[in-house]
Amino acid sequence: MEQPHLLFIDDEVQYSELTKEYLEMKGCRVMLKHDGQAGLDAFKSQTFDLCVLDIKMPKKDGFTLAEEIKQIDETIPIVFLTGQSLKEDKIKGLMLGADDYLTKPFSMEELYLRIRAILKRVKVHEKTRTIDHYEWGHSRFDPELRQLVVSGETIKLTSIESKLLKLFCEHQNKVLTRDAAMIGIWGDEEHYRGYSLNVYVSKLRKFLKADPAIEILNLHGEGYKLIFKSGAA
Amino acid sequence: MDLSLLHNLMGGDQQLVDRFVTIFKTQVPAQVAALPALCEAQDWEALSAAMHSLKTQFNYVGMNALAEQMRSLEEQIDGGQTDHIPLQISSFVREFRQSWQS
Repeated sequence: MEQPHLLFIDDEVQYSELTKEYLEMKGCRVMLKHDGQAGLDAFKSQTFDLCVLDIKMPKKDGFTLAEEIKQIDETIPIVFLTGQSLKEDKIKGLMLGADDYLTKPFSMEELYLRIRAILKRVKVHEKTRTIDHYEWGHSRFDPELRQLVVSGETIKLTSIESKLLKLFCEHQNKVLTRDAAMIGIWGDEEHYRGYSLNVYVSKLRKFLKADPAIEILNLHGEGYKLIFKSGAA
Repeated sequence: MDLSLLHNLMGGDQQLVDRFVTIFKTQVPAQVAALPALCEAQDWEALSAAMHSLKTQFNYVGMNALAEQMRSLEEQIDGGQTDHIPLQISSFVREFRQSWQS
C-alpha cells in the first residue's frame, strides 16, 4: 500500500500528537488539527485517503464536520473517535457514513489496524468498480464514446480531452496534480507538456461553462480541482 | 498514577509513555488553574471542553476518581445545570492542588 495520507482531527492535544507520531512510524502521512474548523480548512486544501474525527471538538463538532466533508467527497472513509460509548452517537455516526468507530481511550495500534483494514477494503472496492459514465447537474460524460452532453448539447471530445475529463471525474473534489494529469494523458510528465495541458484544461472549461454545477479550479503550485457544487449529482 | 493503561494503548512503547507523562505533568496543572476564570466568565462551552479534555487525560493515567469528577461536571454543564458548578469547581481545584503537591 502506498503511504496513506490521513487527516486526524482531535482537540485532545497530547495524546493526538503522540498518536500522529505513532501512525507516522507505521508509514502514514498525517495532518493533525485540533478543532473542527481547522480540520475542514485542511480537508479543502489537500487530498486525503481517510479522516479520523473526534466527536466533541471546539468550533465544529465531529458530526457536523463529517457532514461537510461528505458533501465535498462522499467516498472518503471516516473513523470517529469518541469519549462516550453512547449507542445513539454510534448510530448517528454510522448514519453519516462513518466506516468505523473507536471509543476513547483507544489503542494506537488498534486505530492503525482499523485504518489499514478500511483502506484495504476501499482499494479492493475501487479496483472492482467500473464506471461507464459520469453524470452531474445537467451534464453527462461517457468516456468510452468520448461524448459529453452539457445542458442538452452534445460535444464530441478528442482522445486527450476525454482522458483529461475522465481523470478529473476520478479525482472529483480532490486535487489533480499537473504531474498526475500529464502522466495520465501522455504517460510522462515532460516539462514541455505543461503548455498543452493548460490548453486542454481551458477547452474543458469552455465545454462545461454552460453547467453551473461544475467548475475546474486552479490550485496554484499544485494542479487542479474539479468541483461538483451542492445539488449536483 | 497508574500507567498500565497508557502502556497498553501505546503498544508498550516506553518513550511514548514517558513523553505523555511529561506533557501531562506540565499541562494539566495549567489547565486546572484556568478553570475558575472560565467559571467566573460563565463560559460554559469552554468549561465543558476543558472538562472533556481533562477527563480523557486523567483516564489515560489511571486517575479514575478525578476523571469521574470531570465526567460528572461535564454532564451537568452540557445539561445546563450550572448553578452549583462554581462551588464544585473551586472544591475540585483545591482538592487537585493538594493531591498534586503530595
